[in-house]
Amino acid sequence: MTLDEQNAIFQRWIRSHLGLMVKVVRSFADGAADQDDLLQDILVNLWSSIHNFRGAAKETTWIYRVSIQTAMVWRRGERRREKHRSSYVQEVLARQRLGTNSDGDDRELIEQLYAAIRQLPKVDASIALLHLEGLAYREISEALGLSENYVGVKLSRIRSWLIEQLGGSSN
Amino acid sequence: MTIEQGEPMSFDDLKSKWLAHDHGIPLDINAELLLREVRRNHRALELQLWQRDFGEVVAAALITAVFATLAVSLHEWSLLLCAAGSLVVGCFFVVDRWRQRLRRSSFGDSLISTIEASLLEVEHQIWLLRNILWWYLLPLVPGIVTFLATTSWQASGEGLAQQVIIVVVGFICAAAFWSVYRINQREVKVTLEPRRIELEELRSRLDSSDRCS
Repeated sequence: MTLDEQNAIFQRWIRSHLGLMVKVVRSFADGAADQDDLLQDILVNLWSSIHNFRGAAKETTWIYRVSIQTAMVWRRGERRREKHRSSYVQEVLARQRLGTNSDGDDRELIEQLYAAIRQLPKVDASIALLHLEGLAYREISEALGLSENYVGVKLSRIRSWLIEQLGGSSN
Repeated sequence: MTIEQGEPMSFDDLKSKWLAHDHGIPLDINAELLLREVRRNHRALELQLWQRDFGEVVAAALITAVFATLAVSLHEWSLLLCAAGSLVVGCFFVVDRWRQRLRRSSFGDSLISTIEASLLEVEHQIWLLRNILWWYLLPLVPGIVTFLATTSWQASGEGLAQQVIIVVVGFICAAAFWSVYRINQREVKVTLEPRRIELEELRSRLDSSDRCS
């Protein structure tokens, strides 16, 4: 793969799927500095991983996989690239924090949901996020390298726990 | 329907709201600018790693050269032992870094292989710092001890002041070695051990997923 091809794929993924990465970031990191740090790591790893992308998995599955893998081994408060931060990534996250068109109630609910996901163990948080994103059990197991059976068992507990945290019913 | 309004909410309602929510993602992303910054970041990180390794090797090579030059120019052959010690440390460092680079996992592999690669890296760092006495400090000791003993023996007829200076230098070296050792053991305890435990927990969760299947 040439550098131009790698760059073109990265730009296409950014235009179409940046939202996926931001959702992963918000599900694993709290606070502007940590979110910025994690998104910077995800973007660099995603760019580097393009060489390994063979098209066997769907693009979105690949992006989720790389983003979640990065989030799993990322460590809160570890500032490795203080001097090499991308100011544009900071700007994107700042705009994301300000800009939501949904009404206030939904926004509050989603914020509480993100906070609840962040309390889960990392593997469970990944399963919860991918399930909320509408991925089927098979796709979740493919993205995370877990068995479908395990995903199913875990999900029933995670769903109940999340709904309990938000004060609803788990049906 | 919100959580405050009392009506029970199902998970499917929650999922619908999640999917309908825009999450505030900006639509007008400048992908070209982002790419430029990400590539700059990537290069900076690679350069940072390379500079760190290169710096360590250059430092070891310089110390070796300085000791060797001093040994030859001052006819103080005990300094050759210090040069050899520095060379041993430098060579160990180069071989270790080279072996670690070969073991790196790339993102996009399976989740468990990424976590195992991170765990191996942390375990290796712990091993390095726990054993810093053997591979970093001890190779330098014979040279320093021999140099101080030789100097002390040569200065035996020159009065007490010379001997005191040599003893003070010996204590300063010992204190420096002790500090290096303690700082590294503290790093293991405060930073690396919690990290290892965290990664082991993650791995055991994934292992239990395999058993579950």
